[in-house]
Amino acid sequence: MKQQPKSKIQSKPGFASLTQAKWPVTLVWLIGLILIWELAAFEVAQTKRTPENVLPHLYQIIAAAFSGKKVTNNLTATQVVLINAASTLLRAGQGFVIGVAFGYLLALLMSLSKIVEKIAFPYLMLIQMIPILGMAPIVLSITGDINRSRIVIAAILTFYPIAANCLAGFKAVEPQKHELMYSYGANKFQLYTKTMIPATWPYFFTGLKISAPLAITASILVDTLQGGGGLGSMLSQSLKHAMSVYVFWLIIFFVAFIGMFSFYLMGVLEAWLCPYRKWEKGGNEA
Amino acid sequence: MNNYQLESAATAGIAACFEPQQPVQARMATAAETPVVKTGATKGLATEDPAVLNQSAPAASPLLSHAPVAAASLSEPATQPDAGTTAAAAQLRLKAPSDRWAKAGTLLYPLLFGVLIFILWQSGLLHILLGTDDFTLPAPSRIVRIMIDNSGKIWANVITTLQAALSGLFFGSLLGFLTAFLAMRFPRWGSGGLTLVSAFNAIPIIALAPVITNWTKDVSSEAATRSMVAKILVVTLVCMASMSVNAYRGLTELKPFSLDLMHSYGSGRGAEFIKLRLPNCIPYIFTALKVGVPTSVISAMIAEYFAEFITGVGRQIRENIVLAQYPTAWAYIMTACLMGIILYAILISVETVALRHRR
Repeated sequence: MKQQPKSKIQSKPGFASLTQAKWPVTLVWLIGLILIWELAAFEVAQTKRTPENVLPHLYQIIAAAFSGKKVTNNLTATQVVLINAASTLLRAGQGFVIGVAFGYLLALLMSLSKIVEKIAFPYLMLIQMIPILGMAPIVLSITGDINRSRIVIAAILTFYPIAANCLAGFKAVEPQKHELMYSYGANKFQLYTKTMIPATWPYFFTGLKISAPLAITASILVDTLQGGGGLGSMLSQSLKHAMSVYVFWLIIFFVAFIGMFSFYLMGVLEAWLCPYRKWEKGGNEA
Repeated sequence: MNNYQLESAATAGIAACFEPQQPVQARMATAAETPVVKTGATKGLATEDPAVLNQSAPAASPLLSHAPVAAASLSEPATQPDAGTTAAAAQLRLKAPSDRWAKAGTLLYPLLFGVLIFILWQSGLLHILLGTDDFTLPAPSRIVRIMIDNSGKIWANVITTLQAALSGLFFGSLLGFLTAFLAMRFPRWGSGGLTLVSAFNAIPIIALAPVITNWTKDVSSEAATRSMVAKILVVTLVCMASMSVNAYRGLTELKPFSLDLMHSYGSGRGAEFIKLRLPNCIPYIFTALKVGVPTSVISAMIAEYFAEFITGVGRQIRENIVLAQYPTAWAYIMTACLMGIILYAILISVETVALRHRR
């Protein structure tokens, strides 16, 4: 959260170092959450016949991750998760890249042409409303391949936040900048390469941060629809007790971690590619 | 932190597109003034105090710092009230001779495109283009007929989905606002909590839904009730993040010196909250809701996939797909889209009424 000058006036001097000492606060919150989880796990262990289905202790989950016990097909739980994660994440990544490319292209077209913008804007909105899983069989019948349909769906989900954010970025360029470029006698190409496109980068990265977890969710969701590998189908198999329930917990934690990590990764990418945005660094940690 | 706002930057724009009656200037002003496009410059230009301009200069967009325009645009007194966005300027240029045509185009172009798609779809050309058949992608007339034939059953499913989505949205927004309030009141510990809440947001719903279904097994002996509780909880968690982040901004990012003014009036924390922070927060709340409404519908449907009790629009889509009943599945997909659109339209109209007296 960006520290506003006025809130410094308001807060007491002792609290002025809010931004510097931020991580211990987050750490305390995290420890608090772990404590709550463990307390609840103790309670569940006392009252339930199969506590690991509802809420296992965290150390049990960690132990399951490192145990060499074979869960299925001569694979340990961790191997199952990682092998399936590789295929799911690969598809999510491919879809993500395609979606980003198309989303940015559409935003560019919309900013170049008023007519394209008017045509595409309401429909961009509609895409957001369509349930992803609903599209899976249709995409499947069109592409004729499960893997390809996963990629397409991840791409469609990625597409909206990127297009919407980049369009907002194109629109946020001040008219004075346009006037300046005009007075320099810049042509349309120069206007875009020198002013408009650099102006969209912050918005572009915001879009990336929203859509990266979305692409992963999409890929996993499509997995649950059809069998044949992937984190999603492992998730539903272990939920139906086809294999150890700890696989379920491992997948949950892995997915949660990957979701947050992908968000963080986009932030790192932004800091690397747009170092001049350092000033806003405080605003990026969420 | 500003991802929610920015996403809704576009949505605010869309909202503007849907209201062609309002004068262009006012529309663009609202779009620019919403929490959304918060480049310091737009904010600075909107307020007319030169001191304010100086103050907001360091916080202004980084892009300004390497463009020579920046200095000029900021030191210039804000004489043009509509200098918010490029679009505003573009719209303004359009406004003079062909304003009516521009407005008509806003409605006409998407409509024409929609009609084109409809004709392609209905005549079967779309099927040839996409290389699919009539069974996987039934013609719209057939989908509508199925929707009418099964209207009773579809309506029952809509009700359960709406219950989950709306109560989840309500509780999520309430909790989110509470988090934001606590973060505002106790900045040191609260902002850590805020970070945590937004970190939760990066967790895919797909990971949340089965866990919560597991946890709510004991809530009630009836499958329908406990499934509903699970769904509401999922939607609550998903909606919380955007509300807490936006509301926190609304409560803390006040107009410059307004807090000092309140202090000089000798107001207490209560008056400060009711008279200054809460009204300031309202546009931000609507921004959060604009993200929250579609999200709540989608996450309610995803939560249905994992729920025990087989009900709801999302679950019906899945069940029908599993049974290879594609036309029926399509009817539910259409219903889901309609649901989202209608809810969003309601939100936009409420916002228009609620923010009528602003700016």
